Amino acid sequence: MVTDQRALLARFDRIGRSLENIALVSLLGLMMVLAVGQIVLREIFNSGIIWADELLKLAVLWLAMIAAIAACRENRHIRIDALSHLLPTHFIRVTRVIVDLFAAAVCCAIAWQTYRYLQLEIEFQDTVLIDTPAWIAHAIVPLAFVLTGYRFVIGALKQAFGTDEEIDAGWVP
Amino acid sequence: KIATLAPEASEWMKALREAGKNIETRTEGRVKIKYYGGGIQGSDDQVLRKMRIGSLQGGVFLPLVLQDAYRDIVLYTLPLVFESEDEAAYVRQRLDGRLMEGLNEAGYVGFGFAATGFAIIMSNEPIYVVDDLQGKKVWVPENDAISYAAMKDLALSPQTLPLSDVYTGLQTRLIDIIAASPIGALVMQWHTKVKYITDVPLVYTVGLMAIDKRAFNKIRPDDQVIVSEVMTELYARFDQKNIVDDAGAKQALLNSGIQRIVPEKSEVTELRRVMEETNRRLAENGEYSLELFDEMLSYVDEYRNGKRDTATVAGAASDPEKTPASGD
Amino acid sequence: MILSGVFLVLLAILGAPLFAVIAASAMIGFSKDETDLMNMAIEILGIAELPFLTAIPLFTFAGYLLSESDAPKRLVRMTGALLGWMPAGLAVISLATCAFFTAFTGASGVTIIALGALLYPALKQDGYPERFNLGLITASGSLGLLFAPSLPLILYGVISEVSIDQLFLAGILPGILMIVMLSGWSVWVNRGNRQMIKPFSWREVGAAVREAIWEIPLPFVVLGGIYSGFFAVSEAAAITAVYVLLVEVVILREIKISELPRITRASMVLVGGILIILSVSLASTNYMISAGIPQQLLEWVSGMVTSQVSFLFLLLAFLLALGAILDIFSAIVLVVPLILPIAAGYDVHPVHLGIVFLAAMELGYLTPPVGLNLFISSYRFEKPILHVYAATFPFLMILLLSVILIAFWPGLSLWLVPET
Ligand code: NA
Ligand code: NA
Repeated sequence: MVTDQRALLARFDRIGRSLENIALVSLLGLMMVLAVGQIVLREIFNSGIIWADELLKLAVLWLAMIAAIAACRENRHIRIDALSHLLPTHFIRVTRVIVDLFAAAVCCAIAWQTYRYLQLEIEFQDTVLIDTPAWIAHAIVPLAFVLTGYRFVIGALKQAFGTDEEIDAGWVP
Repeated sequence: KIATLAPEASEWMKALREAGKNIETRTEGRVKIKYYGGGIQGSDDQVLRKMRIGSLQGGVFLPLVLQDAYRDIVLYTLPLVFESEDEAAYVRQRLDGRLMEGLNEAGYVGFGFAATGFAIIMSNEPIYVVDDLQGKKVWVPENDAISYAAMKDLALSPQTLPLSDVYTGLQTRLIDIIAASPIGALVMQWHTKVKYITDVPLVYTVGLMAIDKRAFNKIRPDDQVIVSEVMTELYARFDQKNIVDDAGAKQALLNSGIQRIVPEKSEVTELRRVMEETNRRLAENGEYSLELFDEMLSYVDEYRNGKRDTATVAGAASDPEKTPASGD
Repeated sequence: MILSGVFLVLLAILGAPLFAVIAASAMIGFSKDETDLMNMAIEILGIAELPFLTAIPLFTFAGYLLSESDAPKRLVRMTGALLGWMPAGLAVISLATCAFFTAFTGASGVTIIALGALLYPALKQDGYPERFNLGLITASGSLGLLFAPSLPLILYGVISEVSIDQLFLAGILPGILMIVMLSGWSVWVNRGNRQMIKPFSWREVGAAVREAIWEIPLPFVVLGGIYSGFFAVSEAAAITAVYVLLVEVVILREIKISELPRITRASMVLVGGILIILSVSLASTNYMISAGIPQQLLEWVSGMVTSQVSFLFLLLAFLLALGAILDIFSAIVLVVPLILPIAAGYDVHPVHLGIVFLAAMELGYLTPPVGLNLFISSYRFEKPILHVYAATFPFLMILLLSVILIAFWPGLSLWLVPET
């Protein structure tokens, strides 16, 4: 039963990882094409695309947010971590549960506030890229923080109930 | 809480603070204004967003930024509409009130415009005729669709760059031409990177303060009157003072060794013809109201005809800058 | 407020992710200030308006590609052939290159991820100790802010109404001083290492150049392109990424196409981790600005000033504290107008003040707890942050010494500046 659940989570992990990779590769590719295209247009055809810069910046926003989810999957968000060498393992596990739940709470709070802000953008009919609704371009922010928060909760659960080997392997579903 | 891009130590900030103190005394401390200068609250767009959620109550803006809220606010800043300060003043007497009303309906309280001088062409190679512009790389501020369209119609190659990159852009020749007011060019030190100015009043530049209407309505009606009075007076004063500063700034540019080019009248006429087409097309596309645009042009005509009449009567009108408005 | 501060510091020490700690501090600040917490959303979306933002992922990707290829090996061979006779030649080259690069990318951390990725493995191969390399690359990340056309110099000029051209001239000697002092330290630390000293041979130079023939044009294309106005800095990043992709994947085939998703992911995870910290730092900076904290700090400090010497000392202390909490652009806009009149009162030349200001702010990137370059290094080289603090410390001390020299030796800044 427990193994079944773990297999399912592992499968989710693989799917999530692939989705992130596809998104990251396409966004980075888009950025290169756009930026090089701008140079070619300017130097050879003496023209340019007015929304190219804005689209580039939005691409970075999406990249950053999706990459932040990926970073959380690999437990690569920076921590000061001054005590882990000094304290006994079970104590470390307790503190990890606390700090990860704290991080999850912060992520949820940010997600909630950005969600509220998107509502305002819808109400005021903000646009980006000439006439695209701004909330579509910005929706990645609350989404990313929800998913990051979810990963921290899973991380905390794993610290609380996982085996030592699983924790050492750095496996975070 | 009001944000502005003006540097903390500038005269403009001092005047704003003074006005703030004045308001505080006259409302017996019920209205206190805190300013954030130097763009420290972020870009104009960010300031508008913060006004929306109430963490700021107002900002000092270029009209372009407020265009999403009220499209006609950009009317004065369309390229090559006005020929002189006096002509602009004549039109503004008739339209300022309407624009402020429109702004109010869009949810912002304004206190009039402060003109900051005409943007003129600044370049590294002399621009005498319209053809000299062809293919030149010109700086266009980010998100400025109107200037972008105008530059394309003049066969220039528009480059969108953030304000911070313009200085280096001029130095490395990533851009050949900028359109800037003399005051602006001096502040940003762009004048050290150009050799020529082409003295055609290209764009009438103005700034304005906009207060979030919901916040404004929260203060007592008699306090609202006081705030309006003080700020309107401040803007009127700056509107006047900037004309003087503009002339001084232009002189400072020439003193720093920049050459002044005055193109042939026929070239300017051609430039105006192209730009009027662009302006009209943008209006037809719904960028701003065609009706109000036509009304503005009718006032311009009224002023020019009126001036011609007076000029004939007076018998001399060599310097348009010094001829008083007398159309009404 | 103090209680929540202590609480947050405790969580950080216990290992809470730093972005969460910084975000929480901003949110606590905003709620205390009765500011709507939607401000967090506005500030986070504000990362899309930072200068050089698009350069970060592109340079990061290019840097990863280079470091995964054999380019570091070729770089070591070439600098060895050209400068092998000189002790710590590669370290000195690294310092100079990073400074040059930072001059046009600002201290955005781009230098560490773009060049560090290449130099770090190269230094290791050349036999430099790991700790030294980490410190060197981290410290190099903000070196060069004093050289034209760095954006902070331009911004200082605009805000203080000092001629930007004069600032460009004034920055040259102090900037060189910083590089020379760090080079001296590098030579001293590695004095016992004979592995990196080789005799000079034209044949070896020729072979090394031939081997690196595809990578040699890169700096010339990028710098030449920018200085000639062919493209902007953000575009240079795209050119670099595309060029490196073509060279390493298509021409040299040292990296298989099937490896690209992995390399993209690895490099973008770094970008995500950095930008999320940057975005919440924007929010905490905004809180501090709204609450007037820098001004309070300045008032408190300026009460102790009695002479030019004490002014400069307190200025340095103040700027170091400021550098620990604010980014350089906010600091310039916010603080320069406040200290200019005080500096004038103690007869400090505004051009000299600018150089001191920027030199001191350079250190802010390296001072714990909040130092962007420290975070970036920790990420890029996968080292615990405390390890990075320790590795960078000697370099920080040397830079501090150079900043003190720059502050108390105005002649150095003003030497090349024409009298006006
Ligand atoms: Na840098
Ligand atoms: Na710092």
